Amino acid sequence: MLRIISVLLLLGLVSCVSATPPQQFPDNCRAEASVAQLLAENWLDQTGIWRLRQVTLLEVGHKKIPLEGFLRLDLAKGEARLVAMNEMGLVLFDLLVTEDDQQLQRAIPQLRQVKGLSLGIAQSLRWIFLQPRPQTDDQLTTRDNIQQLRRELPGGSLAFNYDCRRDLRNIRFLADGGDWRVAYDQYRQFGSSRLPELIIMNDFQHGVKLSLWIREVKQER
Amino acid sequence: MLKKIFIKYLLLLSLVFLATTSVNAEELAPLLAELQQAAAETETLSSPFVQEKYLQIFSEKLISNGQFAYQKPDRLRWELLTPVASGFILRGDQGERWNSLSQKQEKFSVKSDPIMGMIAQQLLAWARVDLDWLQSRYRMEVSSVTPIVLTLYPLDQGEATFIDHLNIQFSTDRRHVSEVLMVEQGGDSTLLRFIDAQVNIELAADTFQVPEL
Repeated sequence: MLRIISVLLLLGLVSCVSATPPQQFPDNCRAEASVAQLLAENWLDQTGIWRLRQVTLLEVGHKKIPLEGFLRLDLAKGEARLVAMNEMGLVLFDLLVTEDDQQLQRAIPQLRQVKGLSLGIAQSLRWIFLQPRPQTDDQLTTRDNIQQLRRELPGGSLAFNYDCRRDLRNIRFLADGGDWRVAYDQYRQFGSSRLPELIIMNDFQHGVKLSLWIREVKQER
Repeated sequence: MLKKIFIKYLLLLSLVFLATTSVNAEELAPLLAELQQAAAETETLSSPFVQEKYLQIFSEKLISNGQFAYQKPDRLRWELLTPVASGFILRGDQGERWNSLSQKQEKFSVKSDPIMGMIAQQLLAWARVDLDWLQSRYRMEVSSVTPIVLTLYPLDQGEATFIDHLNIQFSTDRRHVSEVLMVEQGGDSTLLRFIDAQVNIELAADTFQVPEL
């Protein structure tokens, strides 16, 4: 990520990304789930295999890069494979991401030359879908319609915030090695699970914002 | 006995292959001339299209819908309506693209953006049946006569690293392209189907203007 940001800095693209509007939490219910319930009911903490068609906007400074993508998310294996395309359906890159590694399966020549591309995108996908995940020994606090699972880390903390419908609404990491947030909005029921249709990741340290609209959802059986 | 059958089979296969090659070579020139003649009478084209993207690794087909317009000699509008409103306008070798997600319009030229350049030039070449341009870029074969289907293999090494071949199907009246299949190296493909194409209709005045975002 650092390297791709460096390239963009050199190209004079430094500036603030567009502002992320504050999240609206439902206030017509009380949050009263247990840690076990919060973990059991969240789709990312289950073991399904999802096929997600999405449109994405990557913002780095004033630079905005829209992409169409197809993501196969295997939560049991902790693996995400993203195929990104342009508006004509031409595959720009195909990236396999695991919890601690990434492999660029293919990319058009122009993107293959961009150092740090796969590392940067893989890190964002990891934060959004794979790692870190809440744990049973995280500390639970409840305030009216919001619940939080929190863990102390060197130099700060990691928090998972849930609304009173038990939907994971954001992850906030502020500690040594990072300052980022992932917000999950517009939940909808897909089969037996609720999935967000809008996900926004902000990497405050590097001035990167990734907005992801999920347009089609299928679950592999 | 088996050896004899095998030799006969090989001979038969060779004859079929030779016959096919010969038909291709003989038929290509008059077919291309006919297509060019029909295209020369086309002033405008307008057509909704369906784009089917097949991703081999996932055995998944992704459907998008859009609208296409062309005006002689070199104006194009390529607009996707789903899953996200986006597209581009081409006027000669200068273009402008837009995307409702980024809320941005940006200019490009065929030279400054090789990928967009390649796509735009291809669309333009299909729309006006620019066979000289296509033949300078591709080795061409006739895959079918009714309807006419041409198979194109890229000559450019760079393009050949990600495009294996293209199949271009013409409408029954041979006046315009009705389907384009782009097969990538590795097995992915994109099928464009132009539905209810209208030839030589009057296009709206703002057809080749970027829409308000």
